[in-house]
Amino acid sequence: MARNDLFLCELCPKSCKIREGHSGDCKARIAIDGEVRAVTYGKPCAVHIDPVEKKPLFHFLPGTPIFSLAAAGCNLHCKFCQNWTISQAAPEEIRTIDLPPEKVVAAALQQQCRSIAYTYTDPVIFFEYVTDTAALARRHGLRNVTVTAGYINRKPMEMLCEVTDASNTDLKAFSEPFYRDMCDAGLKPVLDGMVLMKERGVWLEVTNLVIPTFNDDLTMIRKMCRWMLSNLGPDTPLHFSRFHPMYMIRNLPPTPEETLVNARQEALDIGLHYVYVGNVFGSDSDHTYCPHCGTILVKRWGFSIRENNLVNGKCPKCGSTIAGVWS
Amino acid sequence: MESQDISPHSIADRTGNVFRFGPHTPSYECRNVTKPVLSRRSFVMVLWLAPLTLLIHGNGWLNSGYSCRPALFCRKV
Repeated sequence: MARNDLFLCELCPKSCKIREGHSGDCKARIAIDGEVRAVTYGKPCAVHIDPVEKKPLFHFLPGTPIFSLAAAGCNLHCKFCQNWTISQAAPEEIRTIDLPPEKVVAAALQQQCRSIAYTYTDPVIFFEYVTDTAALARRHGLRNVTVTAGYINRKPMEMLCEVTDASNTDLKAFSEPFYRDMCDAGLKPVLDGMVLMKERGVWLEVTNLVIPTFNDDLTMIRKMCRWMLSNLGPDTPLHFSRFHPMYMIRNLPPTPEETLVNARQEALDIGLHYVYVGNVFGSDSDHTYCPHCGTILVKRWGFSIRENNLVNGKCPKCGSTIAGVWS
Repeated sequence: MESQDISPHSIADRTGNVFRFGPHTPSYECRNVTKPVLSRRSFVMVLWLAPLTLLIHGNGWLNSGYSCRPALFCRKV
């Protein structure tokens, strides 16, 4: 094969032009012998069983274990990445195990998990592995969860929606310059992707990692919440997550709890029904409250469920239907 | 010139110092010079270890490299 062959990857908006023998920006798609190959297919670098609350998903099968896996690489390069050791590594740089889709599904069933999460790094870059595994998982009665930055083109996102039951999507900030400078990506495709997921019936929860001085401005947070309210609806849960110094941003302190509490209050005032504070253990903002009568519906401590008072997905006091996938 | 002790139970360094080993010294230290690279015992051990190692790691080795699935949404330009 000629060394000058050039391939265009249209999986994500980066539209990498990959020369024979080279990889795309995500490091996981390499042009070899006249075609681009997904080199992390069936080779996860992290496999764990987590509580579903860790994703975080608070309105999706609460209290259940979820089989979680990741493959190396990422199409974003967030300077604050919490999983940078695997997301910013090339597949050949880290240890992987051999786990084809059939083995993933068999292991998830054996471990009595009800769902599989494609997480830690971004499932976008192990797209083929995700779609094959998810389709097989569906046939065995398992649900599929993506934990993603949502930086993907429309066509592959449509394909992903067909096999995804729930997603926690990172909305890193409501600002194009932030996405460009801090993540080497863009905001618009992420917003479009979330709207598409909502339209296709994927259960969606949104996480916003609040980083001191970078995206903790309440004006920006208000704008983000207003966009969510009008495009995703008031029932889309929002998690304000606490930043911890990591990767290239080690010079900042962890997010003060007060900042997160203020952001949550703004979001509730704007009209979002379910707003949580993440990475802060033992907070009252971990619980799910009925948006109509204020009753505590699901009481949490960290990732564990202390009480689940929901009755068939409804508030036991006022009977309001609570949005989510409860069984 | 001063003669050096070259018996199997002594080792002479370049300065001519002679280190002698007593009867309690394990014999292999002195016989190393003439010992084959792989003793019969080690050879038998390797014979057993080789298939065992292949059994444990072989699957991973055979599946490693870039033999994986063609990527979707990619085309030649």
